[in-house]
Amino acid sequence: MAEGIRARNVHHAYAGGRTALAGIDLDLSEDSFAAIIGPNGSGKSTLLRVLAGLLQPDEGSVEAAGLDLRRVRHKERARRIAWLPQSENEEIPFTALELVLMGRFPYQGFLPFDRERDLEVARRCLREMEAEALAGRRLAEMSGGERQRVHLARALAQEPRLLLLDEPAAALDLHFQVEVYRLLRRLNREQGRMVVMVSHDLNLPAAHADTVVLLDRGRVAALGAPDEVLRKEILEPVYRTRLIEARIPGTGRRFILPES
Amino acid sequence: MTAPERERAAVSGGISPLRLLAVLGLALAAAAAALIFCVLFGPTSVDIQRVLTFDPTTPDYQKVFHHRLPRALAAMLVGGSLAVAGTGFQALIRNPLASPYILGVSAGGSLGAVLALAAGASLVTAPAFAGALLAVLTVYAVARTGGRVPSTTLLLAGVVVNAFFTAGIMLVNLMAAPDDQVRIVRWLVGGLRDDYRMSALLPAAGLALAVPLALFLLSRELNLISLGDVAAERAGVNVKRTRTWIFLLSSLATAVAVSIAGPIGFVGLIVPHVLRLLVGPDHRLLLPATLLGGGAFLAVIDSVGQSAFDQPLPAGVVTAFLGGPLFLVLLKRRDQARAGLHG
Repeated sequence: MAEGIRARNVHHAYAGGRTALAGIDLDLSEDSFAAIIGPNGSGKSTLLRVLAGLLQPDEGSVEAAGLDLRRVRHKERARRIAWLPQSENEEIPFTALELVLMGRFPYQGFLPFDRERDLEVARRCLREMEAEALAGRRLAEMSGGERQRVHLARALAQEPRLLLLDEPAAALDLHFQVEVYRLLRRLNREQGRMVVMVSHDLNLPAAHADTVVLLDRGRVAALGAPDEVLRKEILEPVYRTRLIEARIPGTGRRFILPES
Repeated sequence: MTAPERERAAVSGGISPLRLLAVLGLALAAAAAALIFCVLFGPTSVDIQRVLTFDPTTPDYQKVFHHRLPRALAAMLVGGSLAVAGTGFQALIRNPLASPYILGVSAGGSLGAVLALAAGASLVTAPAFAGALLAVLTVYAVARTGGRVPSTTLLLAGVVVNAFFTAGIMLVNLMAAPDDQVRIVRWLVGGLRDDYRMSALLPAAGLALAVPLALFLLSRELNLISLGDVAAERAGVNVKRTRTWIFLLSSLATAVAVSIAGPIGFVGLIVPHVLRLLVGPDHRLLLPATLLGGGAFLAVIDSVGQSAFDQPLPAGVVTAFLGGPLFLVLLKRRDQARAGLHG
């Protein structure tokens, strides 16, 4: 069983016939910090849901975090894998702490009570997201950025080995974007959690991820270190746009911009 | 609890057995107060001292222990079951307009009762319960697709089953003898009676307690499902199975209520709403609160309906008169709060 991710020949089509995944083969090691990139409709979010075990593909096999996702108990899956979607329900009547405590569900027993340990973990996760001050506030009364931090804290409260994030920084301002990526990197390096995120932005993965997966029409078009994948000649045919490659003075890091 | 209190409670954190006991204690006190109110106040007065001699031959004793107490307890069973069922359906369908009757359970129960009444029967509890269960199973069979009971399909199936059974009720009513028609209409209004025997209420009481207990054990799942199936699934809830359980349990509670007192409206809609404002949206507190609060509410409503007007009014009429406007006020408040948030 793969402790990281191993996907073989994964196919999935949505009702109506639109093919989202057309034979994905993917291997990522358990210490990866990977970014999945690709144009709209290339299958990024679908792949993430398949890796989360929330969508059963029509064909193929997926192992993630030491589990065979075709047969796994719900709670067992939630203890190992946490998934954060692109957008969340905005009308959540619960407070931040209440919501983060819900992330402890897979660890709780028969009786529906929160234990001291659940509270400790929930508070720590809020703290890690700089969201302690929000603990008693309801999500429905928060800004998009505050909500996103609370949802991240909820995902962390699952104490997963594998964190799957769909555009985790989309609703955040620059400060929190940088903070979120820094936190994810810390979770990856210090706590040994595997992180896989979908990103529209091409340059953020270059700065943070150690692996980039480029999807094109439901297939893996390229996979490798950011410097290997984020190249004009690889990206241009996939995005069907002329791109400029440049380097940041000082660090020498590569970044990509559309030509016009 | 006021908003700052709620905030502090939330920060101190979580639902512990102690916090549940506090809410349960308050709700029990409210229910006990309601019961005492119902027993003491009625169309005619009772002499408490004479009741407390526990002499079964006095009219006061008989009034209290043979009529008012069983009636109040029946009202509590009905009100509690309806409020719990409403709470379950509102989480399941994720729509605050969901009432226990939205899925045709009451129409099924009513058809069972009406058939029995048209046949000249006087006891209708069992046929009403059978009709309600038949409606539940029909809705379930129609709505179930691929092992799931999706909200939209459930609602559509409920509407259709409701219409079908309602047509049946009309038909039976039209064909019934004039005397039976009066009894049928009276039953369809929904209300409590004076002749409940404690022993006959026992099975209903068992169900009326077992269903909320089972739902309480699923209360964290209810919290998560009220946020969305995907939110629940990713947190480790077996959504297919849990949704089926919530549907069946809530329907069962509705069937209990309808079989005892006919289709009393608005309790299942209003009580969860009001109590959500008081104890918050967490089902671990909300379910015990709605069980006892709904029971207390209907018992008091029934008692007031019996004594406050020139002619006794069935509880179903009072709840409809009270509940309609109250619901509109709540809806308006919610929309204003939302407009304030997003405006």
